[in-house]
Amino acid sequence: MATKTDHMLPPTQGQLRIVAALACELKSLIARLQLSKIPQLRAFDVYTNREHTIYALVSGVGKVASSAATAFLHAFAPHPCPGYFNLGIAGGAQAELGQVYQIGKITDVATQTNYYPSFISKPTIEVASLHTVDQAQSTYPDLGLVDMEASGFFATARRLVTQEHIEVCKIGSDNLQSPTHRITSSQVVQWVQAQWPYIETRCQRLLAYSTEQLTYQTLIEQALTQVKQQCRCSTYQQHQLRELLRRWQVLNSDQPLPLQACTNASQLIRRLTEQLETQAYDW
Amino acid sequence: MAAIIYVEQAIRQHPRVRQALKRLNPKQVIECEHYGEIFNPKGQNFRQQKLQPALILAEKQGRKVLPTPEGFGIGGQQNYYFSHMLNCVYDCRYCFLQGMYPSAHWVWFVNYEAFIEELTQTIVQQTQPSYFFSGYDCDSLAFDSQTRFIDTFLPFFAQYPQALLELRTKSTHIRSLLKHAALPNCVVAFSLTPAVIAEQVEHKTPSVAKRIHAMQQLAHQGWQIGVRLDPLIYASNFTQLYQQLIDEIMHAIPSQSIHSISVGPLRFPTKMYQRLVDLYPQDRLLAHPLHKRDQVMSYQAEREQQMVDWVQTYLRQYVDDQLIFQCTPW
Ligand code: SF4
Repeated sequence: MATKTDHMLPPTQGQLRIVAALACELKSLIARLQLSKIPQLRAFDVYTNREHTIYALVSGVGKVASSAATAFLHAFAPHPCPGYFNLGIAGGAQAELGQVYQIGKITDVATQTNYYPSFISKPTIEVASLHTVDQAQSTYPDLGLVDMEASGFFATARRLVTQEHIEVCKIGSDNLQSPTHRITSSQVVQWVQAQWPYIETRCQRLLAYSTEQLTYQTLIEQALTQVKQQCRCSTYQQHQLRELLRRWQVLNSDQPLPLQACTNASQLIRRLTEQLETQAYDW
Repeated sequence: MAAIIYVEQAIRQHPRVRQALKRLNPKQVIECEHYGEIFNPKGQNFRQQKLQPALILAEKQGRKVLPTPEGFGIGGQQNYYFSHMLNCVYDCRYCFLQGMYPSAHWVWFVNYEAFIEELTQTIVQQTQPSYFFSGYDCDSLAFDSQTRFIDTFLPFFAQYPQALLELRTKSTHIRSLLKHAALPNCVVAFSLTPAVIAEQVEHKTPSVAKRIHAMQQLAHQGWQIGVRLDPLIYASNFTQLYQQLIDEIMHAIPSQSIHSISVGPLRFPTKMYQRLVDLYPQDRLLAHPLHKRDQVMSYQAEREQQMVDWVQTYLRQYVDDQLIFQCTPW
């Protein structure tokens, strides 16, 4: 049974948050990842897996909706370092229908702001530029793709995590020869399905990165919890202990903490400081 | 090589950019307006980017030749640095770049002509010899196969014997130097720590033995060699490790080839240290007993002094005291 102390520990598993504008963009992903809809949510349709490590959300069209959805997930499923993935369709004069593109530059056309997503690992597919527009358009820029969400998604996600946690992938849906009105939901579902191997790789990598970021933090917090179970610590002492425990874990992870010999936090801090100061530093 | 290449729109047709893109033949080039759009935003993870940095080709605007911080130098009165690159291909855990820049991407400033113009102005204004350091924001040689920095800047400094150029490096890519006759007003300075420490702290760098071999080759061709024992890193067997390192260097390099030796303690400005700890909480060097002193994290004053004194005393067996300098930029 979970105890109160367990709740104070940071999560041990990473988390991935997927945002898409349309239900059809997520349909095959929901099936592949075995996500189920969370009941009775009014703001958005949100899906999650049994472990609650993946959340997928249908935001609706437009950058404001996408930004709101991203912020909503942050509040709904708190996590210190989740991955963020924006999946959707995008048009472009040269866009190849059904082709998946990794986005390397997002331009918010209304504000003329550029964003440059980093990549968690080297993309193995074409990296494209993307223009996010406020209104659906019948013309395309000479180069790159056009969508209506990415800048809103990216600008908000960037406030919540470091850039390496955020990726945007778009699937070519329309071009000069095949305009937007020809797009059908079933076709979008098929396109996402066909590109699943690449999409899955990026999602898994983001999730793994989120987990990696947690590991050490968790170790230190666990050690601190162990200390707090034995003695009361002021906020300042907890701060000091975190730093000492970090160093202790690096240098003496094979030794138990000298908890038995200390009756209060000040004693423990003194003891750890002394030992870390005088111990051998071998390379 | 770089995962992604960004190019500032304004220099897309710059000959150095065109040549670089031809050489590198990247799958994709992303255009930007200013390198700062990619390099400067907060909320980037230096550690993660360091695994696969992007290359940004840019134009350096504003001042290109700047005075070095106080305490940085090798005996000159007028000390300047200039950086044709920001960031480094190596990954030393003590490197101040990782605490200073928000991004680990490599920025290469291709407008060498503008650097040369400002260097010329700075040199001709001086009444005394001036010193120019090129390896302040990067390693001077490590990326030279791409930047061709040496081929441009050596001939330039050859015209101004009153200006001394220091190339600071851990690289063994010395072919571009060996192509040229040794320049009397150029010092090729190698940073070294004992091999066992270097292996754990100076990631992706050539081994200490290879660096010493490169120094030897250059000395043999008449180049002046700088030895940079900076930072000094503590170990329980500190004297044994540093004695061995100094002996190896001094047996390999004839004393008349030694231009200068600088010794610098390990120090981090407090904020930079905190940033490094956040990035690398499990790093051994960052678990060392460092203490806050005047907004700087360093070994206890007494330990620090003992380390510096011991190294300087030991060096005096080999070289004249006048060639030994202490470097403490903060
Ligand atoms: S070689 Fe110098 S510039 Fe490069 S990472 Fe090491 S300390 Fe930093």
